[in-house]
Amino acid sequence: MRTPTRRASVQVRRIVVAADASAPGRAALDAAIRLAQRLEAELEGLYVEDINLKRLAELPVAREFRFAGAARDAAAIAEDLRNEAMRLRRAFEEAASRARVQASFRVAEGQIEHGILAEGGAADLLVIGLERRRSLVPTRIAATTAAIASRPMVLYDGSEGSARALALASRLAADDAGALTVVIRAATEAEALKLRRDAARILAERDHGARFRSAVRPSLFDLCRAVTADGASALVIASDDELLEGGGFRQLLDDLMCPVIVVR
Amino acid sequence: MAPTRPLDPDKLYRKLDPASLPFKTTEELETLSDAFGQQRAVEAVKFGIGIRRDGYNMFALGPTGMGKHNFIRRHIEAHATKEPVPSDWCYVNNFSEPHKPKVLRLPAGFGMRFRDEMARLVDDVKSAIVGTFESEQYRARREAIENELKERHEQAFNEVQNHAQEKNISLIRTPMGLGLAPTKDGEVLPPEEFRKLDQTRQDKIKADIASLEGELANVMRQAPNWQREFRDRIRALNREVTESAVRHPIDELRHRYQEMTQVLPYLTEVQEDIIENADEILAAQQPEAEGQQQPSQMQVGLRRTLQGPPVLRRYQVNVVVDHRGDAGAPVVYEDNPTYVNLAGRSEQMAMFGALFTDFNLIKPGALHRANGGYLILDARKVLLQPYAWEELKRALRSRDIRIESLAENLGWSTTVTLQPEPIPLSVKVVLIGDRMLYYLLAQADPDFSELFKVAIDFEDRIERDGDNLPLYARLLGTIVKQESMRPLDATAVARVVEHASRLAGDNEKLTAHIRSIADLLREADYWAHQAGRDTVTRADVQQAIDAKRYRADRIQVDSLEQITQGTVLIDTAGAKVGQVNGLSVMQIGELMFGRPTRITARIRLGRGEVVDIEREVALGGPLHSKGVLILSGFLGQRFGEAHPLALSVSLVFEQSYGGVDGDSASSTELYCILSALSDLPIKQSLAVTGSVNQRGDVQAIGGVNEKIEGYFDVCRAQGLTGDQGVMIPASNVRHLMLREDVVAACAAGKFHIYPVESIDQGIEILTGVEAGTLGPDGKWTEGSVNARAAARLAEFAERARRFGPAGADRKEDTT
Repeated sequence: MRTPTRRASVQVRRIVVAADASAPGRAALDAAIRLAQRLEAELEGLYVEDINLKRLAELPVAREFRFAGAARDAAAIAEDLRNEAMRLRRAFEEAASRARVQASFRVAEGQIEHGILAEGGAADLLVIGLERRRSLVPTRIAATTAAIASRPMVLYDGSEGSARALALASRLAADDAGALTVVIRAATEAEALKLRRDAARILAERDHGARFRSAVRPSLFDLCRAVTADGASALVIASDDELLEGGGFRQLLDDLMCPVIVVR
Repeated sequence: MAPTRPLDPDKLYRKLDPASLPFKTTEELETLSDAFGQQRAVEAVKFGIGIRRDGYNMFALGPTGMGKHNFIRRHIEAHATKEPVPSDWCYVNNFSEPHKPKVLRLPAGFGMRFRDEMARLVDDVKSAIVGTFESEQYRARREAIENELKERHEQAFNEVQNHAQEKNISLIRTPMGLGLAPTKDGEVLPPEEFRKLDQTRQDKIKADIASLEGELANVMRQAPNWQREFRDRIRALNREVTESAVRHPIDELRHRYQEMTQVLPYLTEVQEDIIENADEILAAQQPEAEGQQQPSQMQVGLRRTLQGPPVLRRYQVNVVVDHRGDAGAPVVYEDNPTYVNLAGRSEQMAMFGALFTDFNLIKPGALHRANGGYLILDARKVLLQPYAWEELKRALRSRDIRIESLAENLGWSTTVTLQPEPIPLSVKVVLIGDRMLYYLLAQADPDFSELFKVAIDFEDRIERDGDNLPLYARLLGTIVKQESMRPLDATAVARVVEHASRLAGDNEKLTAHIRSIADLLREADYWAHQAGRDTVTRADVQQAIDAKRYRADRIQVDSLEQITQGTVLIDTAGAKVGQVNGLSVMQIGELMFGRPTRITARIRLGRGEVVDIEREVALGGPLHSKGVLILSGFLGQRFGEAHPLALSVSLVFEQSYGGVDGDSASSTELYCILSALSDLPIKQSLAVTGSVNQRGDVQAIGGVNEKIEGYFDVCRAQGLTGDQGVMIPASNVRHLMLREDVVAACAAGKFHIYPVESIDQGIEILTGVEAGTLGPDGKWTEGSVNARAAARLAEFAERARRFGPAGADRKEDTT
């Protein structure tokens, strides 16, 4: 666990939102635009074309089996990808225009998680909304365009990064009168108690309350379950959180149904 | 025949001596709580209320202003308070056929209670359902099912994935589904690398993909079944948790209503429906919950209009009849008995261009409110309203109340409307109307006699006797007290009683037309106020009578003016042959007045016909024509036995252009003819009224007071000579209640009223000549009226014989 810090401030100048045309993606777009508006930050929309899908589309032997409808040649996938990018760009630009937010949009290509981390590297805030792609089974997810800050959940382990994440999550929840949940990650119960007091102090400075949960050495799976069980509207996590290392980021993207906000 | 004496003044007006009344003012008198002089009606009402058989509804008949409504209401209410309070009625949702709402019958006062308890139940159920579905246990169980399904899915696809991976092929999620592609180092093989492979290798990859397609297709075919299974299991879970959530509150309600057999099955249906629609109820409580869309404008408007989410309206209770706090059976008077006001209606709400209705919008009618009690209706109003009469009869025949759309019944509308369950009807209906309406219905409507067997017939007049006079005085006192008017002193009461006899048209009766008397009291009170009196006196009552007459007598005054100016020719002195003053009554609005009309007769040689000129020009009504034919019969019988009546008589009402009916002038016309036949002049100072029969008896007529007064006014205007007067039928003497000035003139000998029983008696008064009697030799008394008439007729007969029926030189002899 990291060295605790006392006061963390959040300066957000640039936000990158990585999304696809799914419902979580739309939710993430809207949330990022509102954040950019509120924080007066610059906003960039990012669509990462999955390199594997591109290759699939170009292979002559590949086939696509649709969940609703007949099978078709994989060349149609390319059309789908182009359409998806176009739809996303259009939705993003219209929303940014309405909100009068300085915004730009680009399309990158590569592995999803690597692409997001690489392309969103310079951003102060990375908002990610993707459909769960790891699961082969389609899931129905309703759109929650305005609910991202209604019940955010933030991971706090005493590090500076997690303190910034806590500060941002607190601000998100306060602005929307949402219910914040703080997951205290610690090695022991005693440490968890101490970190909880630290987090409470940080929140008190912002005059905002929260619900606390303690987790002693939680795995990523445990955390994903907690996010889902709690019905959290978004997960706020520090960019240097060790859980994101070694495929953890990919797992988060695959297992969570809500947007992920990565705070640098 | 002895000369006929004119009537004494005391026969012309029956006074009531105020001194005979045992009070000074009506203030001393007890209030009258019940009608009197209406024994027949009282017995009929008691019978109608008491008999409990189909078809014994009541019809109260009599002129308007009799006080029928108050009478009926008083009697019925007195009885109804002793009867049990009837049931409450409610409409509730029919869950299997929502367009046919069901009805619940509950003990009196329980309707609202049940409604409120159902509302509380719904609130409790809402909370229970929300709590249940948000509980950790529910989430965990649902998650377990979801995970199980997900795992099954995943396992199936993973099997395919594993088979694929064995062949270095991967199953990849695409935006729309799944794709199969060759892989290298965990990534999809780049196309350029694939193209570099040899053909054999490419074919192998192609074949592997083809075989995996089959597997994948099998798995995807099963996916819908798994989804269905998932939905079934979730549904079963939801049913189970909902049932456990709602069981307790509904069981509590069942326990409280366990005695009410209709309620229990309904509660079971409610429970079942809640369980079936728990998700809808849940969604209605969380319109903006995470994962839900914002409600549309239409949904918001709908919720606001319906005062709540539509799904919860199903469990509301519409109490259409509420007897909470009531004592006794209901007595309802419906003032505007339209079809819907009687039978109720299903209202509709307009929303976004469409019409919406449900059982909550059912509104009761008068039949609902009166069910178990009494319903009072104005017959004329019911008949004037389209289809109201038919619906009333239908309800009484079938003994139920049905709320049906009139437009749909008539085929004007084909939209789907509510068909609420009929409500059993037990009611006594009392119709109030005039006699003509009753008789018309009895004659023309076969249903009427089946459904309204009890006639409550009100007396128009009551006896003016020692028993009723004190009650009548109390009635006057009651009216003035009820309307906070000045009390009447004894002189005023006496005057009102006398006027009541005048209105009854009989000095031995009193009118029962309460409204007329009440109006007189109000106006007398006004005049007393104008005079600054605290008590109403005779003078005030007289003033009221005179003022009312004055307000209405413009036409009467004009008519008199026409006579006095000579525009209309009326002689009140001298004597003329074949001319007599007849008397008629005109009614304009509430005013009745008499006026003289000159009647003349001309005779000539003819064939025995009496030509009624009024009838010839269609100005004579059938009753007048009958009178003329009767006098013709008299003439024929009296003078036509010995030889044929070879005369032609023409009769006319001179200067009459507005139509004549009634036979009250038939004796007058006969006098005219006898005068013409006998060539004896008739005194023009006298006016005559009276009907005659074929025997020559003079019969009673109507409006005798007005006729006398009308002629008196003319004579007075032209100057009373002391010879003037009126001949009236003797049988009309009891009807005399003449004006004070007329009575005074008669008392002073300046005007005379002669009662006459026969034509012979009358002709003697009019001509001053003996009428004559028929001797055994067939000859009339010499020189008498009859003798002269007979001689004239014999002369005509001889002339006619000489001329013969085919005579070429036949001439007419006109007198």
